[in-house]
Amino acid sequence: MYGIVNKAIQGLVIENFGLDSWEKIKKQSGVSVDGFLSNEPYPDQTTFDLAIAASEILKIELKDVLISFGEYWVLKTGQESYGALMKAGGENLKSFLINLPNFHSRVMLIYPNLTPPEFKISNIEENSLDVHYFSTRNGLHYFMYGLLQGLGKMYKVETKIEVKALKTDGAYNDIFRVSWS
Amino acid sequence: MSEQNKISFNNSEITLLFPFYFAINNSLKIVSAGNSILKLIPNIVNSDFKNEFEFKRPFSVSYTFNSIQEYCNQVIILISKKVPDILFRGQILKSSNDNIIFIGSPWITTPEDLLKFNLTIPDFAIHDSTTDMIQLINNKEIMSKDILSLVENLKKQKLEIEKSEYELKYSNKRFSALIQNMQSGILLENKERKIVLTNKIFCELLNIPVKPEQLIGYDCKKSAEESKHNFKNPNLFVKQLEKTLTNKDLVLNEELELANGDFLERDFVPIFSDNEYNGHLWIYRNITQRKKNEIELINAKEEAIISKKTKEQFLANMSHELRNPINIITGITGLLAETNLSGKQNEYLGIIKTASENLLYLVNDILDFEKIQAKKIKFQILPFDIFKVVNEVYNSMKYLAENKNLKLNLRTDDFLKTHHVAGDPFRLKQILFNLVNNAIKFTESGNIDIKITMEENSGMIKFINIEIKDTGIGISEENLTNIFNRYSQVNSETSNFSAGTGLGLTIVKNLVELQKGTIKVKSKEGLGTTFFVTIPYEIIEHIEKPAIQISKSTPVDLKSKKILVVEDDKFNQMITNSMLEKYGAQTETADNGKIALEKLKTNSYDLILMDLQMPILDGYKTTEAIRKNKLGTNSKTPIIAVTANILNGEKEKCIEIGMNAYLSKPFQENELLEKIKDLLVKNNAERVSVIDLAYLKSVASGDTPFFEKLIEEFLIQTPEIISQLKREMHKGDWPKMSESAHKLKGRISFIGTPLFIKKVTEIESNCLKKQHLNLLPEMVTELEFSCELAYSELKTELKK
Repeated sequence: MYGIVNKAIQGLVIENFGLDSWEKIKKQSGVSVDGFLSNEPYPDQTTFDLAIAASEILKIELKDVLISFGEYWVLKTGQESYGALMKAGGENLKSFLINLPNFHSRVMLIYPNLTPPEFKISNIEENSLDVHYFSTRNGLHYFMYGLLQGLGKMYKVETKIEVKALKTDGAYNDIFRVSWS
Repeated sequence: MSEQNKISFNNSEITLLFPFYFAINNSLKIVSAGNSILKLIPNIVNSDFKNEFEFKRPFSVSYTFNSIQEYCNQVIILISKKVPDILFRGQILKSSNDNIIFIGSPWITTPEDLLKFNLTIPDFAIHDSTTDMIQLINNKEIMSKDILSLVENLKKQKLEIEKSEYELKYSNKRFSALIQNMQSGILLENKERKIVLTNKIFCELLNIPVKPEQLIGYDCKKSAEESKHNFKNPNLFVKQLEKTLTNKDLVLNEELELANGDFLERDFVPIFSDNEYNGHLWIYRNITQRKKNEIELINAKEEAIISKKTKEQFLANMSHELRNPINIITGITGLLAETNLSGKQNEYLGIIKTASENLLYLVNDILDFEKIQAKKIKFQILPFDIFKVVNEVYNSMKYLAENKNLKLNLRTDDFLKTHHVAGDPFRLKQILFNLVNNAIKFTESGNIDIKITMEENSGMIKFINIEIKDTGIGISEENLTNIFNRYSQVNSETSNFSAGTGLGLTIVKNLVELQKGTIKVKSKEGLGTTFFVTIPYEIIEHIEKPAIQISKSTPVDLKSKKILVVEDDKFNQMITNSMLEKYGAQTETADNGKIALEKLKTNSYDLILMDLQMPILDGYKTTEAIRKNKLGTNSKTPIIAVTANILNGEKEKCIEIGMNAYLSKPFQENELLEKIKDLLVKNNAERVSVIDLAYLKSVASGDTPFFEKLIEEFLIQTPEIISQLKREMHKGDWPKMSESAHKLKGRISFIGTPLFIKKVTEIESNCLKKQHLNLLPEMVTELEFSCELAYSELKTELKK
């Protein structure tokens, strides 16, 4: 995982729970870095360890921690680093999501050490579509859920996300039905 | 341009592949354009190319169709004339319909420019890597920012480290300076026991002849062995050190004695950081001077205690020494008063009497105060007639009041006339005497009212309220606050009443409070003072006056009586002899116990008056010798103890060793006569015999050993039961006393005469019914005396 994801966790914790909580989470997770470089790859385990420690220290369920990180990434971390680029991702939520598969395929070349997830968009309707999420990592579907929620907020539309299928429940991939109004 | 280089797409195909394309015809008119370029520059179709674009590269091109088409293999950079700042990078190609087609993309390098020109990523063809380039550039910027941020962080951290290092260095310097200037010897060792820091005082205290800085890094593992010779007990020093280092617990104020006699005090402070042991600190202090001071202090304290004891002893001795002369003065005064005296002589005699009585008060005050101070004062619990006690005080003080033309009034509850209480009558009398005497002393005119009431409640413990009100000089508010303080006296300029020790009210307050009572005072200067005393007493009896009472007024005839006065003081001898001879007694004197014993060997007496404190052989030892039957029949002679020592327990001690009565000096003539009368009358009656062994002999039926055994049992057990009986009487434990009397009755029934048995039966009955309790002390003394006679007779019987 690139540093920017971990930065999102750091930012969210410090902003909402203070520096002391972040130091405790770092100590509990065993992560001993002073700061993350956005475009440097870090072991996936670092991200998981931070999320689990945050859940324990902040006494928030892991699911909710990951959803919050997803939203925070879109609305804060991503905006700080890629604000304009993200806005250029599409004129609206629909075009952004339709462009999502291409965007991630391009990302693979830009970040040679990253194995970015893959997306497929189907069932495109006027106000809804299905986002198929393929990832080599497990357990990040709630992070994805949070990202989708964050995008809805970024485009200032009321968004509803339904989980249609989950890999953890035996499906081939995760499928989210995103509806907006 | 060859046909091969011509491209052939329809408009929808070409716009998909090249959304920023546009085509111009040979008149340089724009004939078609892609969706994305139209988004950037709307309405360019059908407009003149020259009006819309300008060649930045190649700038040498002529704006003719032919000239332009020559640049088909070159990089073309166009600038829009209508949309400022937008450049297009691409190439030109000929189309199959002979138009010139520009294929390319806007030259955009930042995400912000995308937004500026209202472009989105989907506006670019999928194969177009412009947006990727934008992201790469963006990423580099982000990287630079991250690195700059890290560098900033590193700078901050470096500054913090530098600051910490400076502070640490400064702190170390200060610490070092502090250690060097401390008045204690300091030794800081790391966990390997190497010296980290020490100071000059440490080197001096342990006789280490180097500078402290030379010791830094020195290994202390062998230091105990190296320095043990400095200590008085080297092995103990080494052991203690090893134990301390092993335990690693904080040790404070450990004392070490040096070989040169000095003393050191040592602290051991283990240093732990995050539960990890990092070394320890030794702190040594020279406490030689302090130890010396402590020893001096202890000696001074001991001296003070000895001095206090000496003072107490001195006071006790003085009281004895003072009471004897007072006894003589009052005695002589009494004798003188009975002679023919002139009016003036009578007046002087009255002054002597008053002065000697005052002196007696002073002596008693001092003695009581000392006893209170030493917490040696004890209270007796005896049944007594409170009405009688109050009246005695009233009668004796009335005379004093009348002398000053004061009226002394007494008002008591009827309840007090019909009930007895358990407590200390002597102390109550003392309290009343003191307060009434004070009232008389400080009142010049008017009256003194004594009011005694009993608090009404249904319990057995009732509070006696005593109110003594005078119309005297009163006490100022200022004096009222410390009226009960020792040596405090109302000292008014208008009065001359400063006589006395100033201890009276302090003693009264203590006497009241030690009996769980309270004392209060109300006073207004010039108007008088009222003292309120409340003392709890147990109500023990409803009085039924005994039908027969020994008349105290029966004339005394001592004509046939021979009395031995054992007394070392010549004046006392003279007074006592004079009192006795007045009633016809024959008196002999002995200056000490030894002389008395000599006289008893050859003479027989009806009574002995025995002073307790005498040189050579005192009254106790003399009595013991008499009672141990070493003098034949004289061993049973009644003995009255006479002493100036009024300590508690004295009377009991006299009775225990075999005396029959007790008189406190100075005594009045009638007191002496009453004692003598009681003893001689009873002694005569009981001299016949107290034992009747007929019943015992019939039980034994000629079995002599059994008979003897029963007598021996009586001789062994009875004294113990008597002692128990007396202890219970002093405690006021009537049910227990009744049990003891019953036990004794069982034994006496075997050997005693009916009269002897009756004595113990009466005691048992009185205790059981809680009646005539005021007579018990006298009855027990009589019983004990009878027992003493019984022992003597039984021993004689055994010898037979």
